[in-house]
Amino acid sequence: MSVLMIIPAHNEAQNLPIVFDDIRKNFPEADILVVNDCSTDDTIDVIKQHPDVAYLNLPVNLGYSFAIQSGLKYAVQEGYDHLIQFDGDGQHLAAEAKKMYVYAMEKDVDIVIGSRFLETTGYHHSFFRRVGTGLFRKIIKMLTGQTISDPTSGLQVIKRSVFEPLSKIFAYPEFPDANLLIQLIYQGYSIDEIAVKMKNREFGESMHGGIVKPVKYMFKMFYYIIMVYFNNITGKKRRA
Amino acid sequence: METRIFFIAVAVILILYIYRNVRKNQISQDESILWMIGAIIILIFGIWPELIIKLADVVGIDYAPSLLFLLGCVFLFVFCFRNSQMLSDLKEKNKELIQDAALLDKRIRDLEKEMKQMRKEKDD
Repeated sequence: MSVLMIIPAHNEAQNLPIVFDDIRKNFPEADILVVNDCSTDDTIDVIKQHPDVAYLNLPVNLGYSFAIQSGLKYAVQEGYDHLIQFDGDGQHLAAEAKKMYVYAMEKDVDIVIGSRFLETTGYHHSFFRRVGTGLFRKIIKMLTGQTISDPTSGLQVIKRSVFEPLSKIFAYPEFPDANLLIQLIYQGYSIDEIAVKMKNREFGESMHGGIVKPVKYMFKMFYYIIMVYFNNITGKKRRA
Repeated sequence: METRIFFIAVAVILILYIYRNVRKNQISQDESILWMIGAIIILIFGIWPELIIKLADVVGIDYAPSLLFLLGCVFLFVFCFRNSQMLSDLKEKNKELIQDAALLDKRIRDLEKEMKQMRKEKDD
């Protein structure tokens, strides 16, 4: 049973050492893969100082979701059974990831999401985040009948049977959140959530900052979801 | 009435065509968004042609159909510009990849040379 932690990193030189220490201390069984998404600071030098950390060095900037997909391809190639999506900005805690991994093994769930909303955790949410999350939660409930309290959580444990097909899909969505979850539920995968604590990020900027970006995000997400919905109705991509 | 049905039919066919292309992975979801918006605008004007006359009134254009042409031109202009933008981005990334491949190739050749030397030393 092998497990890989995928950490997409774009200019996270300050945060990465903290993340590595955290994982080594609290979840030493996991292998670490950093996908360096063409950082312009000295992220790559920081990674090289840790010889036990595997890394992919993307020669051009692909963005968060494609960096993750590169990690999925690596996990398929190296034959891992489970992978954990873990952010490189110090938001996610290795102890919580371990809790999720143990839960996934015990209950044999395909995807376990670390949710910030199942319990009050003291995590600071921006206004847009809260409104958006509530909305997408309702949409998921409406379309699939399943309640997912934190569809935008980046902390996920994924089984090989799920990430192998994901690593191959054409045009992996720019934002793989609610749309991908709905698609996976439609395809018959089991998704579960457990409550996790998260820290507010220590250095650097969030990728959903400002006003234009969240609006664009919402708009695209609606479009993706409509597409997923129609794909399901006209039924072809369903798993047997 | 016939023209209205004709325009609605054209818009619906366009929407279905775009959707089919997305389904068959011939265009990505992201790229299809703008085209879909264009097709939906055609659909809206097909269903409510009065809209274009009202809109022309608001911006002070006497001959309403010319507004239609203006809108079409603006839309195509934006789209072409975005395509140029993306082309530049792709060109840049492609160049970056080619250079990277060349550098990797050099590193592999160096490694091979080193390995051959090491083998020779071992044999001697």
